[in-house]
This record gives sequence, C-alpha cells and structure tokens, in this order.
Amino acid sequence: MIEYALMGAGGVLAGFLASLLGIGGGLFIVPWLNLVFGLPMHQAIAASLVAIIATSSGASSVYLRNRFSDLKLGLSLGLATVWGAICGGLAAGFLNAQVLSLLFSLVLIYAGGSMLKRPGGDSPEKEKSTDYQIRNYPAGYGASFLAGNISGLLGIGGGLVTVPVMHLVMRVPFKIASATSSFMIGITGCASAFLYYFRGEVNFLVTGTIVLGVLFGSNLGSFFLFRIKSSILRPVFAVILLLMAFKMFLKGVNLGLF
Amino acid sequence: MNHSEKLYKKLAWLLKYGSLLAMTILFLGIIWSFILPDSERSLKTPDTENFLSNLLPNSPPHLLNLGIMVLMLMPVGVVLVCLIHFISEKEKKYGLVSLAVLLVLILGIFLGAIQV
Repeated sequence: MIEYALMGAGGVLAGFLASLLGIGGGLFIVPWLNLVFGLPMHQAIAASLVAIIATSSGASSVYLRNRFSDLKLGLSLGLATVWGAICGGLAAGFLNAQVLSLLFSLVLIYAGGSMLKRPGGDSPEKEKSTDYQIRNYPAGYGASFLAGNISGLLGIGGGLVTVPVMHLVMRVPFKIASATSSFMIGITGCASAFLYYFRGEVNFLVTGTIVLGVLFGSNLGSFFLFRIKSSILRPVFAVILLLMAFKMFLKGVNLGLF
Repeated sequence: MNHSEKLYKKLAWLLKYGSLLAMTILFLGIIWSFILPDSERSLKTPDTENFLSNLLPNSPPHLLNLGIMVLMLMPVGVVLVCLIHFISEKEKKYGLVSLAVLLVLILGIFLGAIQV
C-alpha cells in the first residue's frame, strides 16, 4: 500500500509541475514509474497515456468554457496527431523496453534543454487574443503527426512539439496554442491508449492511482499558478529531467551503474 | 448565445462531468482494492471476448477498469459531439474533419482489439 501511496505522490508532483510549467505530466510519470518502481516501460507508458487523457480533460473543460482553445484548429491538427499516435502505439508494440528507454532519454534531454533556454516568469494566462490569422497548415500537420507519433510511442502529450510549431510557425497566440494543444492531447492519447489497453499493458491499480494523483496535483498547481514563479521552478525541473534522461539512457544501453 | 458558444459549453460540460465520474469510480476502485487485500488486484489481459463483462463493477479491478474506460472513451464522445454539432449547423468542412477524426479513433480501437 505504501508503494501505491508513493506512486500517487509522484502523480501529484507530476500534475503540480505540469500545471505550473505548462508541460505534459508524462515526462515525469514514465521515468517515475519505470526508474523508481521498476514498472515495465510499456506499462509505465500506458499509465501515462491514461493520465494524459485525464489532465487534458480537466484542463480543456476550463479552456473551452473560457474559449481559449481553438476547437476547429484542434480538430484539424488532431486528425494528424491521431494518425501519428496509432503509428507510434503500434510501433511501441514491436520495440523492446531498452529502445524505448533510449528514445525517452532523448526526449527528456530535448525537454530539459528547451526548459533551460526558455525565459520563465510569463504566465500564459496574461495573453488571450481572438484576432489572428493561422498560417502554414502543412507544417502544422507534419509537426502534429510527429507529436502524435512521439505520444503514442512514449506516452507523453506531444505539446513539446505542437505548441512551439503552432505559436512560432502557424502564428497562433501562445495561450491559444497551449490551450488548443491541451485539447488535442486527450484525443491523441485516446488513439494510442486503446492499443496498449488491448495488449494488456494497462495496470489498473497503478493507472488509477497515478490518474488521481495527477489530477489532484494539477488542481493544486492551478491554485499556486500565480503564487510561485515558474522562473524559479523551471531550472530545477530542467535539471531533474536531465538527470532522469541520464538514468534512462544508462538503462537503455543496459549499464546499471546506479 | 451563438451556436459555436453552445458547442464550447457542451464540450466543457462533458469533459468536466465525465472526468469527475471517472475520478469517482477510480477512487472507489482504489479504496475497494485496499479494503479487500486478498482480492486480485490486477486484471490480466483484457480479452475482447470478455470486454463488456470486464466492465461490470463486481470486483476492484473491474471497477478500476470501468473508470479507466470512461476516461479513455471521453475523447471519442467529444469528437462525436463536435460531429453532431457541425452536421446540424451544416458546416460541411468541419463535419468531415470531425468524422475523419472519429473514424481514425475507431480504427485505433479496432486495431487494438485485433492485435491481441
């Protein structure tokens, strides 16, 4: 029981950080379950995918009510992410845990590195614009397919790819891009979660515990959104991600140094 | 309230209460799992033949399975609501986009079911 309580605590932390830093909780959930509790990589990814659907649903209900999400854009790009997610989810069934660990470590390095580079302190809530012209749809579709692929393969949201592309390439305001990505993540996660589910890789008790923890954590995070400076948290979390990347990489190349 | 606002409100409602329902079921499932320590805590590969009977809340793993399934099916419901809305509003382009997303999601479920 203590083991499950600790797993849930990790979920709370993942949800809390995800909400404060605007990242997907999957980046933390998968290494937490795999490296700390020794859950098989595929089961950790499956639990993360279900947790992602839950956080996306919770956040999207608020974003949609306040009309931050661009529903039509989300559905259009969602078509590419779901295809990508199915390809990624099917591919994951053929890849062994070591390969997945190596790929995951690369994504963690990218996420940690971009978090260190990104200037912190700006709350996404400050920006809301309804007057914008979306450009460069083909690049958006390509990036969305890639994001879906990574999501299905590694159990992360894919916002790491879609948000910057929507904002920088498609010229969608950051807040709208972030909220739209949050909406897309649920649909994307759903597409590949069923592949893991029917392969018997969803551990119900672990997944239930993580989902509840993540949701509690993300609510806690929204409460502290304006009370904690993300510029302080960002480098700390980036270092944690890079350390997890290192551990994951060692696991991937089968070097159990520690 | 214009038509698109209605859709946003419907979706927000569906996601909010759908996730609350799933959370409640999962919470009860977890409590039940720990009240009955002897109960089998993990359901083995959810075979497609027993798919529906595995969703009957007659044991902790089945209840957890039900909560997870509610969560996993919620995005399908969201796309379905969009599809119905766009068809009723005669917005052909987004009606087709919603239909395509829905079909790909169903394909994902189907591929999942046949790969067992």
